[in-house]
Amino acid sequence: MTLARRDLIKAQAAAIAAAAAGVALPATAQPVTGGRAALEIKWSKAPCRFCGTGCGVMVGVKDDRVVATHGDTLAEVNRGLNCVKGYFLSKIMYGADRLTTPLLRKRDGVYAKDGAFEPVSWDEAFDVMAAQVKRILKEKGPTGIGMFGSGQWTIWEGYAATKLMRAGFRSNNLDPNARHCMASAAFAFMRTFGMDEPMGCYDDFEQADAFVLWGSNMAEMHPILWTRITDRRLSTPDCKVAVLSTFTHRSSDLADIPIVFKPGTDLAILNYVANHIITTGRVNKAFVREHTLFLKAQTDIGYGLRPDDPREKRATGAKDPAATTPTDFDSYAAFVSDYTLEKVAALSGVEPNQLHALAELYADPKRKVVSLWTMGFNQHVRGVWANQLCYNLHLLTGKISEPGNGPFSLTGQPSACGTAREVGTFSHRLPADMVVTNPAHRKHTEELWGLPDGFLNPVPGYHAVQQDRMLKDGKLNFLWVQVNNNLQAAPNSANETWRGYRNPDNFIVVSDAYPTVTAKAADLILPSAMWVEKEGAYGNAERRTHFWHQLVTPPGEARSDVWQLVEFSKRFTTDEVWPAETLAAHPRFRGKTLYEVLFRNGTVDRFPLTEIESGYACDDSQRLGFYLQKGLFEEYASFGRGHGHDLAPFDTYHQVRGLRWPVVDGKETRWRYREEFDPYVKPGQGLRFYGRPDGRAVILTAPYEPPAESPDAEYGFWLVTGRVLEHWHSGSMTMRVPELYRAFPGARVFMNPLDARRLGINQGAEVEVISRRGLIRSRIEIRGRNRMPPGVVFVPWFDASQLINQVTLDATDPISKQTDFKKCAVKIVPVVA
Amino acid sequence: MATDPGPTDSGAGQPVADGPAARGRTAAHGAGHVASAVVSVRPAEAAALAARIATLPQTEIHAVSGSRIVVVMEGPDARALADRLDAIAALPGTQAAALVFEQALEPMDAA
Amino acid sequence: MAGTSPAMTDGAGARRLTLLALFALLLCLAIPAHAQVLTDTPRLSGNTPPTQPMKAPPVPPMVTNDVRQMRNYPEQPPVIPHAIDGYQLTLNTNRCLSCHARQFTPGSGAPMISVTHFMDRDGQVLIDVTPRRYFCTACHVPQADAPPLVQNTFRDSLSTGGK
Repeated sequence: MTLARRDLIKAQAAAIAAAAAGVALPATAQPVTGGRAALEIKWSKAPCRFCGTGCGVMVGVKDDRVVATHGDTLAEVNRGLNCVKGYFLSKIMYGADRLTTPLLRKRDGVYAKDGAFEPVSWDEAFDVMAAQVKRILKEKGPTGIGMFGSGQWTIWEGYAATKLMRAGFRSNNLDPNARHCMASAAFAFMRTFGMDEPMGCYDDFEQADAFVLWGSNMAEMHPILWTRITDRRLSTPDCKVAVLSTFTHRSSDLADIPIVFKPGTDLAILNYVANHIITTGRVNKAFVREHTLFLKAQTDIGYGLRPDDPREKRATGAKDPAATTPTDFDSYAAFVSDYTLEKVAALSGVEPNQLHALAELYADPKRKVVSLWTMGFNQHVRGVWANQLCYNLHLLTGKISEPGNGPFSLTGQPSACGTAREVGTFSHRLPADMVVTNPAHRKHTEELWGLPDGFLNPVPGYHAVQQDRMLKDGKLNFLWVQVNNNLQAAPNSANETWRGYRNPDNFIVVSDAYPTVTAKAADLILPSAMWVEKEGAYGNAERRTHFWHQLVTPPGEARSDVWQLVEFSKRFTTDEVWPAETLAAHPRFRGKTLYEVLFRNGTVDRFPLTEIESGYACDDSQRLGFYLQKGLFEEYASFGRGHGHDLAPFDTYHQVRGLRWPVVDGKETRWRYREEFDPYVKPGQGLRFYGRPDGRAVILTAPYEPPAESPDAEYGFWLVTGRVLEHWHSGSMTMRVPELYRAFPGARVFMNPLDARRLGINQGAEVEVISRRGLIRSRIEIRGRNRMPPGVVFVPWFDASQLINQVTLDATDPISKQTDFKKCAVKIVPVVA
Repeated sequence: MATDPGPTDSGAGQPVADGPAARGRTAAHGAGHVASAVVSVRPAEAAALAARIATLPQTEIHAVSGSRIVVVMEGPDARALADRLDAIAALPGTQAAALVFEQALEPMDAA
Repeated sequence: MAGTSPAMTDGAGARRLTLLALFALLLCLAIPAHAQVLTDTPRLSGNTPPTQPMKAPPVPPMVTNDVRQMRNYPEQPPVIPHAIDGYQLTLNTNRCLSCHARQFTPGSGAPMISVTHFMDRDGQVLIDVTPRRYFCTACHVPQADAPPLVQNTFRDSLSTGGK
């Protein structure tokens, strides 16, 4: 902004001097008096780079630079609005410290783990990387190498990654950071409906009579969806909003029923609401009889800690945490009858009248209810249960799969659904909801990928937290990290992640646009193109797939992640990385590069460059000589077409503002499982949960179980971590936008004023936040936007100088393996100046 | 806002893009003033003289036409700009150098 | 990249110039590549090593001078040049609108909310602010009086014209 201002003054100075001299200024130095052409900006559509809402933005380009962005009025999601981050998208690519060349740790001219970063060519970078992979594959086999990706990968980046890892290297050690974000939601969808992702969509927000937020601060984390809920609440008489959280925040400001409960007790509240529905006779019996079945969860399932932790040894159900046994309605009703109003009020610390008002929103048959949740449910040691217990409420009342009624799992990343889940980049998954453990799924995948029978690895790989543990333990020796900042994001990172990355046996590669804390902990840094510097596709939380074109050239030698993956595959031949017996049985693969098997294979490379839309560049495809993105997308789409995941043809997505799958006969699907809206429900069926063979959805019996670590005499506070509106995830983009940085210029410890007074701490004072794992230093905030109850503190994680995840606990939901970032015990100690 | 001292350290060792931003960035540390001038020269010597002037620090050529050269200068204060204009006037081949516009930057502009 | 990592202790300006000069020197003399100096702003990329806790600097004060800042581009929501501590922005009350609503601007002297804020989701103009725009702080943020962590090279479209 200020540079531009100076340039304007200079242009003005030149113009005045030129006028005085009677000289025409050349076009290059003129201010915008040069006619209409000088005022014109080329506008193109793109999804926002940040959260899972998936707002449409218009991106203005002039002279190969993004010069403006604004909300796309034609985008159904946001109809012209953006949040403050979205409005500043124009500046996220222009931090002056962009990475523009590969950097390798070297000493005396060769790679050294303890060397200093030196610029190298892409060739040298890939040579060193490939040599490491070949060495480790030889020593350890496919379990020795891994990749950690992201819900910010474009669809084709995730697809190329899963293909390279599983079909190239036969390794399932591929996981996305979405594991930290919505693995619990994904597992709960599969366990309840047999298919991932929500049945409803954002259109529900204009039709519901009540919204219940279970552990989600949408006002800050999904601001544009919050504008739709605010619109509905303020415009509609008798619309109600309930907000459940472990502290009061901006979403509570719209709440008719603001509820602050003790961490972890949401499980009990959910069972109380179910009990209330049953005891007041408001169960939709016909719905329950025709469309549901009852299962009982394995209990005492542990906390996903290292196996030698006493809490794991004690847990009687930890061996098979996902196990369920059949039960019935009566047993279920008897089970939840224990969750009485009085008992749950005492356990949760919530006023009984508030709990009753909440339960009535669900129980009242006339009220249409949308439940919404994000990390409060998902980052929870019983996250899968929490998701499922919420589905119970909608299934008991039949309030599901119809306009204005339904449970809705929000996502945090722009393509958590589109890439991490739908493409199947989890360590156990394949495209279109298939899994590596299912022989039929592997066979189908082998056919579509043109691989030998029985080639794919049937053993799930290391999930996110396990990757860091295995790096530290020396069992995983190569990790390629793309589009995420895991050393800032992973739990207990000083003891696990950092030691894993710096273990001398390991080679760590980080692809990023900026020098993050993770990049600086790597051995090789690859400079990545970001957002509209490449052609891309994301899938948002309502099943909407949306595309964008490359609009500007990336800086220096920066390249897209998909180009990096595809180019790297040229460094390997099947003879080097495939088992000899496979090649003996299938000699046609001999001597081929992985590039030829996976990408230059007659399928992915079947679209010529001439199919790139005129007026747009696609550097990746130009370098490879074929339309890579289209080839990858069409091959990927073949997994889901005809299987309930139908995607439209590639070119369609460049024309529309996204479409919600399944897209059948050119039409998107807004509500799944309901005949009126979903082409996969056969005529006359009415409603069918066709993800499961029996067409039914599961009502789960599961109890309240306590968190992995609770406050005690020494560590007296609950620590909750999370985000703030102005910064997205680890802040690597938003902290480089001066206006966003200044809006929230560093992490703070949000604390209750009475707690602060008791500890003798003033507003703004420096403190240490200490857990059994580690500590950070920060500043106390007692007046800010988050109003904490006594005994609970909140610290956002965007600030790399205050790595709060060195304090958090690496406990996970034992079923989903998703970390609980919302509950561990800390003490707060004033720093004596 | 008024005390914004400009960039911190990062981008160290990274190539810096050429162009107006790069020029502004370099200048941002010293400059408090922007000025423009018209330099009169013999037409045959205009190109050579413009090239010579362009080698002066924080000095840009915005147009060369016939016997006129349009120059934009930046500097910490008015005195520095006046000195530079004198230096331009003293170059062999220069017939006259006239200051046309001068503006002291607000701290916000200079930041 | 520049020689043997110059000590980065002096002022930002001198540092930038030094690095530019060294970088130019590198280009001219084709010195063999040396250690690359990456961002060492801890808020962006952590302490060295990142596991070492570091002192938390005081929270900078907010800008309260009421001076309106130029927008980076016309569509950018203006930043708030005053403090908003303690402002009520709830179901029942909106402190921002008590100055910025059309009917209150003559008394308050505050800028009126933009005309776009009267349009509902379907583009219809309402008599007052649309409910979807009710929570001002989703888009408008106050600013701390603090230098950026790193320069942002975004260029105003007025200055890129033709260049």
